Amino acid sequence: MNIKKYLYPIFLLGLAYVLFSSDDLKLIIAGITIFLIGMVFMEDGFKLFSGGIIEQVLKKSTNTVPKAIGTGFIATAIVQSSSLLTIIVISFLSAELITLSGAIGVVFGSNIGTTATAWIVSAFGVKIKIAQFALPMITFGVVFRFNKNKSYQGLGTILVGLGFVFLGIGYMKDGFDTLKNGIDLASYAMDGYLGVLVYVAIGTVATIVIQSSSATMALIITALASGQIEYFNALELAIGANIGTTITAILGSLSSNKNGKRLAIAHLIFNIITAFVAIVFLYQLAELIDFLSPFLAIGEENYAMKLALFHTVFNILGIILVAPFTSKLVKFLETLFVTEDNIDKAKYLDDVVINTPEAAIEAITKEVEHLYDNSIEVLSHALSLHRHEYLGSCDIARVVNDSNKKIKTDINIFYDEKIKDIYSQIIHYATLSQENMDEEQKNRIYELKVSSRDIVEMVKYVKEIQKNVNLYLKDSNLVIRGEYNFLREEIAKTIDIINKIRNLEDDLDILATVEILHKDTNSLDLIQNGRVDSLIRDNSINQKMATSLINDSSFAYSISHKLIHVASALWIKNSDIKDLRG
Amino acid sequence: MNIEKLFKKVEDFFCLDEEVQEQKEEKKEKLKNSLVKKINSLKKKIKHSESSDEKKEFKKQLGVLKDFLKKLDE
Repeated sequence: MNIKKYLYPIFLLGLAYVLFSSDDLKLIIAGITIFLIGMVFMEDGFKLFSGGIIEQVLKKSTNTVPKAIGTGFIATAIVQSSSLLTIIVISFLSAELITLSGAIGVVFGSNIGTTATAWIVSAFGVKIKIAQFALPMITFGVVFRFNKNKSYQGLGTILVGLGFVFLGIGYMKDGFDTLKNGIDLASYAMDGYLGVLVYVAIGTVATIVIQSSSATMALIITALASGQIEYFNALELAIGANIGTTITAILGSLSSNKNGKRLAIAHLIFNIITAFVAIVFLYQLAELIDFLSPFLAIGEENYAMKLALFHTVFNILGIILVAPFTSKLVKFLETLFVTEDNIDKAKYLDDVVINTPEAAIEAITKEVEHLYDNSIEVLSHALSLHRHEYLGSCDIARVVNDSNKKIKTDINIFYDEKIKDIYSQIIHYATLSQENMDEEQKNRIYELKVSSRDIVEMVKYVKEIQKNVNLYLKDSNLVIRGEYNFLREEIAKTIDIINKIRNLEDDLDILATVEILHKDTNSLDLIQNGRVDSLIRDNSINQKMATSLINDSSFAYSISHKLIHVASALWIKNSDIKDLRG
Repeated sequence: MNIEKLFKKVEDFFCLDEEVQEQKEEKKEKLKNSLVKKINSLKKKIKHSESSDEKKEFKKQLGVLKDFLKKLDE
């Protein structure tokens, strides 16, 4: 930590010195920073523009590794950001919407997708004056950003991003062009395997510093096109950039959950193997590129495009080598980051996705479901019921009647171990995630926070019921026993029905069921329906039993209402349909 | 009344934000269509259902959805 404290000012001073001492280097560094700003804009733009399309495609197209690779490749080539895709993949993995092997497939494919940047830069960036398109793009982009429509805003942001990327490439190119009049970097070219190792290391470090392999590739290609570096050294730098990008991913995953970390390790393994093979067979690969180039109409002297082809080929080679072992890789990764702790922690709240509204909402929704499932466990045990016995049973009344053995559950301990931490993490995460959200998304977050609070309150209410359930479960007075069985049965039925509807596709089916449940819970209001009055009048129960029953029926009524509220908030996806309930 | 609400009322009164109004209407219409479709499908299910319990459940659902449709029309 201390090293970091001193390194940062040294880095800033060094940067300031370079910027003020050389106009050419100033142009190159400005080019890199403008390029990076462009990448950030493009990523933000695609988040707005796609409106969840990327998420939907990823959910549906990652069930097999080849499909996942294809999806990762196409999605990254279009959005030009492997980090955006990685963020979405981690959030889906955390939410268990895709499998680890699917996520690994997407990351593999994404590696080929990122090579599209190299193709764009080598095909357009170094041949035509790409910067002249930049300013009109930025202008139109800004105009679009003023539009009320989100898609236009997204498109505007993408255009601004692309404009900055082009402008950045232009600056880098100009910088290298003028630099060669003064210094000839090519004179530092190194042959042999020492050269390989030195340049791979430079590529790695450059990418770690710049934090973007695309920017490093743009830098390498413009330098190569200006004759500032030699072709073979450029190939070595490209290999280094691939290693560097995984180190960036590893650093980024430190704040992520176990899934994020596993995915980063998979990425590292993949890129290290690929880089190792590329280094060992560098000269053979270069020959392969020479052989393939004429088929793609790439001229013999067009080293920039040859580098792009090399970048693609060695990433494809990596997939051919590693993809067949995906299942073994998954098995290995699943043994990592396993914690054995009594205290249940949040499983889905990943800091990596906290600033991506849709992904953050998805993560919070899944976490509230997790909290709900934990609460159902304690609710059932407090009522002396086992979930596996009554869930899905066609005769819940009989199951309740037969389950009269007290289940030892200390709700306070359960609350500390399985509710408290998750609840506080949800509230904390939800509050922080709201920063970049629109009004509708904030409402959704509010709804999820209220649902979490409802779940916690249910647990507190059932603690009150538990005492009397244990007391009257084997009471000689069959009437009071029957009344408590009725309360248990009603709660169990509500949980069972909710369990059945939570996976329904049609929101209207869920809405209708939830509304019927809501009406049925009125039977739990024993004061309103006069049931307690008649029991007292008939002398069927004594005063103490009556007051216990009145209080506990009120708790049971509240629990059922909260269960229904949570179910409707969590599983009715369409907000307009949800609003029908008022 | 805060200033934001006042502006919203003025906006609504003069239908300044027609696009928003149109979107709302479009959503409402879409919702109504889905409800009608669901109601018709439930009616068919009731007709073809052989179990009386099932029939009862469908009828309950039908009643609820009809209430929602009425609420939307109001």
